[in-house]
Amino acid sequence: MSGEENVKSLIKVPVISLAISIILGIVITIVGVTVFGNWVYSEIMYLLVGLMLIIFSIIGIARLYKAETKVKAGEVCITHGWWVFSTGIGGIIVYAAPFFTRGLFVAGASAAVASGLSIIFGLIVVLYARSRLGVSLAV
Amino acid sequence: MGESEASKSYPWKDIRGDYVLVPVPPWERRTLMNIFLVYTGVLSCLAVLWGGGALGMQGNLHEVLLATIIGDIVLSIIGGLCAYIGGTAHQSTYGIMRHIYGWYGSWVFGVLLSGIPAWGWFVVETWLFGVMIHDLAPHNPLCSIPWAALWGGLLMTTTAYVGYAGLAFLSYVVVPAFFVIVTAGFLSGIYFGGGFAKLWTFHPAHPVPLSALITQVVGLYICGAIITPDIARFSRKAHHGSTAWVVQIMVLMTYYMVASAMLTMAMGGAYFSKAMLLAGLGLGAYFAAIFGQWTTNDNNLYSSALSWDLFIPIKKRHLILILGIIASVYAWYTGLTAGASLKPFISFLMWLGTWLPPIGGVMIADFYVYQAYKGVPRHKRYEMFIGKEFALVNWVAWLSMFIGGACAQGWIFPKSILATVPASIVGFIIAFIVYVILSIGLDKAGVSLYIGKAKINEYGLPVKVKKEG
Repeated sequence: MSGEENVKSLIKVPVISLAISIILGIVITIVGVTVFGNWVYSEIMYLLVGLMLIIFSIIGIARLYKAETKVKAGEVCITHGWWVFSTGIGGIIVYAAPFFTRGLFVAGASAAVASGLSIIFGLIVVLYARSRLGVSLAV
Repeated sequence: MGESEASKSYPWKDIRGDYVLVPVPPWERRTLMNIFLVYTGVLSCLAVLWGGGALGMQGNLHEVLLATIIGDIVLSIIGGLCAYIGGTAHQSTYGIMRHIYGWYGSWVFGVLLSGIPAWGWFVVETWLFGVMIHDLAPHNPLCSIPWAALWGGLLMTTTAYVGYAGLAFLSYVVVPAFFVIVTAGFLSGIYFGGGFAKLWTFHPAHPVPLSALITQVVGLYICGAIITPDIARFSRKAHHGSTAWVVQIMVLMTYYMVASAMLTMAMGGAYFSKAMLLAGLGLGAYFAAIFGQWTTNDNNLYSSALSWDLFIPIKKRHLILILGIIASVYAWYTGLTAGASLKPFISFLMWLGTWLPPIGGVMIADFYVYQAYKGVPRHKRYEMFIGKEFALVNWVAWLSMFIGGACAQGWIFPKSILATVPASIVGFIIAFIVYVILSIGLDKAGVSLYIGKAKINEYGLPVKVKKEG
């Protein structure tokens, strides 16, 4: 198996995790769109976190497919895994606040769950890179 | 070239740790994103929010936006130029000073630039951390000002102790979350203060001229701009540090400053924590307070230790531990002693701060102008090899720095000039100009800029060169 084929097989787990993060970002963005016009302050936060998750994950997947070596793939995983993890932490803290779920409890809860799941998937990407791709936790 | 092959051709022995005395080897260099996140980790702190808040009390929205953009352009240029030097030489700011100010100059100016100020600001920020935690949880004995300052300072020492990897790890984990939480804080503050409509018609009770606002923006981070090589030395390409610096200043610093100014205009003060508590963002307030201070303060301690370790013969990690413990205890003592104030200490640090931009002015003048005049290719400037000779003192660099500092103090120019042009910019530009004129002029006249000689050994330490005859 050539080096490049080997890398392609190694990145399946992080690609899937980041793809799920894209879906979670879309969920949060949809929540933001559905509350449009109700409460602008929470709209902004839903759109911000949703778009951050979508953008970080899409760029991460694109860079993973371009990576030619295991180390490079590992570096991409660490960078984007932590970005997704950290964005999820920010999201879950914000959506737990009453100010941002005013009268829209279901929307807030959905966004909080999506943020919590993105924390998990971000961590999966990071830990996978550490254990299977052999890179350190901060590249 | 693989790491094992590269390591065979790397001749240096890193006896102090974290490449204090020697260039960062290729296999330790980091990605552009890593450099960007570490810089952003330094920026992501409550001090920049308070800085923006201060602007919000002194100007209307249009003036604040203009002052922030202009000030950030100045910081981008200075920091970008210094970061490029670090990315080329792969040495810390103080290691680079050996090439410019001489061995003794690197010790003296390194301590002046970072050793004392960065450590001092670590103390101040640790004490402020104690104040903030106490505001959030006033009834918890562990959250009293002195005890919160103590455990906070020790916490911040841990990642600095680990070294660059520790700073980077924390930045990766914290920066995006800090951005999200702080944005939530801004929005809630604007709402509780009266909404966006109030911002467009805001007029400060005590307005100040635009130049004064720009001075504050530049002054907030000018020292950080000059010591960008401390981080940029870890970049893989020379321009990565500059790129990372410019993007984070022009995008993030502008955003943080303007948004916090808007919050202040709405609420009547930089009541960031209050806005978050009103919104039910108590956890967010804790996160911003703890991690915001942590990601910045560990860099303060890291940079301070880098400068001291140039001549104090102990491992950098041990030095960080010593400096961190002393600083934490000092902050604890200040919080404990009734009536104690850090104001005189802060005033001293701010006075010292006016002497620092000239150090950067000479650095930029030497790398970009004098070395070019001497015909040295850019990638070879400040190149390190075993046996390279360094001067003990570059008297022209010392003189230029002092003249720049004197101008910034108003000892040479009339103080009326300093009312319109920021003192930090005056000092920086004058030092730059004086160094260019003197260094090139004296070189053409056959006068040496340098006094004494020392060679560098494989440990990055000086070995005096004996005079012949």
